[in-house]
Amino acid sequence: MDELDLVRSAGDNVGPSAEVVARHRAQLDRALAASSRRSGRQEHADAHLDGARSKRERLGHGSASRLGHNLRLAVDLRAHDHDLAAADLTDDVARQVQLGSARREPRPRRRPGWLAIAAVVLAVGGAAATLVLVHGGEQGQITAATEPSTAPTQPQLVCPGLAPVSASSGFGGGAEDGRPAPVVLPVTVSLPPGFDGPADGPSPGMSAPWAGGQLVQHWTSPTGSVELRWPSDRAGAFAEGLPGHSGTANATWTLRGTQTVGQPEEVIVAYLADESPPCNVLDVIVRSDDRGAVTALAADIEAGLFAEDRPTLVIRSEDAPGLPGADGCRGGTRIPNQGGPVELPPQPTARDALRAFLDQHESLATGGYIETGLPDGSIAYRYEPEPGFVATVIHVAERDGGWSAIAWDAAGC
Amino acid sequence: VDDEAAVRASIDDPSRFGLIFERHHARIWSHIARLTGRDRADELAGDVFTTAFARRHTFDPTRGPVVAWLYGIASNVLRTRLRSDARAAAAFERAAGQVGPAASPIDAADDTMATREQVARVRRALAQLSASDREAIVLYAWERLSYQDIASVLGVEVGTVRSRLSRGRARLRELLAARGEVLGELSTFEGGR
Repeated sequence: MDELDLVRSAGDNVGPSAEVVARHRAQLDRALAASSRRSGRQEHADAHLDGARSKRERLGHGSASRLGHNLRLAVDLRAHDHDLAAADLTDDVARQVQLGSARREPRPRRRPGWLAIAAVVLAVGGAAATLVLVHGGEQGQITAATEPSTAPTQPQLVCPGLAPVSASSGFGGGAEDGRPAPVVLPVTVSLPPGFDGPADGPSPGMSAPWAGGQLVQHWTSPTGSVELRWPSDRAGAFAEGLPGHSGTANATWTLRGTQTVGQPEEVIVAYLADESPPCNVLDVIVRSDDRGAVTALAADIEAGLFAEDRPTLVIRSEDAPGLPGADGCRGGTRIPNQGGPVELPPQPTARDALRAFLDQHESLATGGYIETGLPDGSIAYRYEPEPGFVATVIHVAERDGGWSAIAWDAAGC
Repeated sequence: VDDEAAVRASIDDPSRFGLIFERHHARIWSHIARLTGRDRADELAGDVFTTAFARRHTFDPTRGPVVAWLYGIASNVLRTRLRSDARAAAAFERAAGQVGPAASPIDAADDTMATREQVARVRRALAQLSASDREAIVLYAWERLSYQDIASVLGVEVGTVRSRLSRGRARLRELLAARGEVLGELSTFEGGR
């Protein structure tokens, strides 16, 4: 018996219950029925449009705030180590306006030139100085590293709950075999297929030096890299929270720019409300030669960093003879319900349409909805914080070659 | 009607996609249950099929069979849900408590603590692999996919699948040996299925 035999023996012969099969089949049948009402050919044509719209919607989520962040950061981070050029910000504005296609054409890399090389030298020096100023003297834990980015060993990490990780061990070790235990990160970094890692240390030749006590890891793919740095190189600057942010909840910012070697990058700064400075700020840096790919991947990673904080979107599915309504507020004061018709771009599935709606209504519950199939093929998602009390109803229907939220009704309190 | 024809036909006649559900739902559900437990399989297996249906225009038979395409969508759905290697590993270990060992020639009376402990040891060892190595091993050993199909599921080259399997298997061997499992000689991974 070898290790594969053992793995096979640790499998199972379980299957879904009849109830689950029926529920999943009903879920699919609703999608099939909705789709059947259209011409197959028309739907095929629509599908490409839907993809573009869906992408635009997803990237468009938070675009206004992200744009605001970028513009503010152009002021705040002028002295930092990343070249947030005005041209890049202008590109951002243009991209946000013309996100008509899911995948943008790669932009030719800029040649550094002598002036740019001089700027790189100054920027690297400035970054080291910034680290010393921001972290070195004050915290006594993070110091500006002068060694090459591939530092051979990692000293005791400064952030709580982390086991030290050697430069070469990666995540695979466990305490029982004498290797360091896996590191548990405070955020979730979700990457698409094709990325290998994580490996310890910065992306080779691509990043700021590895500061002592800082957890630095990277993932690589044939077209780019993702790097995590905890605490952030900007931990001092954002110790009290991100600009315009109360500092009492987890939050993220995205900085766009061009890395010092000329490769487009985006830096997602994550603020961790439950950690203490300097460990309450963490960076995830996304790089690729394809700026569009950087933006798309950074958006996905940013959306998922705190995904585990969110409850399950749909807790069960059932059918109902008619559209339910939300209950009014309880208590003596009568507060009218809020809601009404809405218009949103179509999404591939009904649940995607619910997510798109919730993305724009932050006061509503982000999960725990009951999916209610209606006789006309539309779906009502209702939220009941306690049995029998319907706090929110979001009505989703097939529109324009996809699914969209068309109306909502919620208790006004 | 083969799977590929059913997917193709479903572009003009959506009801044809029901055949894909009938043929593969149990398999996809079991895959998710093995990796993350029954609860998540109950929650997510349906999403795999609605997502596949919504994206049926994008199915490319030159990249692998329909079942590999479905595993790939399941993999993405899980990745979206679990979001990190650490959470995937934790879910994988927890799933061991929700599923039992495979039927074996061992008498039911002997399917006792020893078997369950061995299953737990193997699962703990698997949980310590990187998510990419674990996924390759699971697709190979449990789902019995070929190298080519695993490459299609994971969106990587066949050579990458080979290296992940080889690395994962070697690491697994180390971990199991450290836990007292007696293993035979390491066989080579030449050729695949």
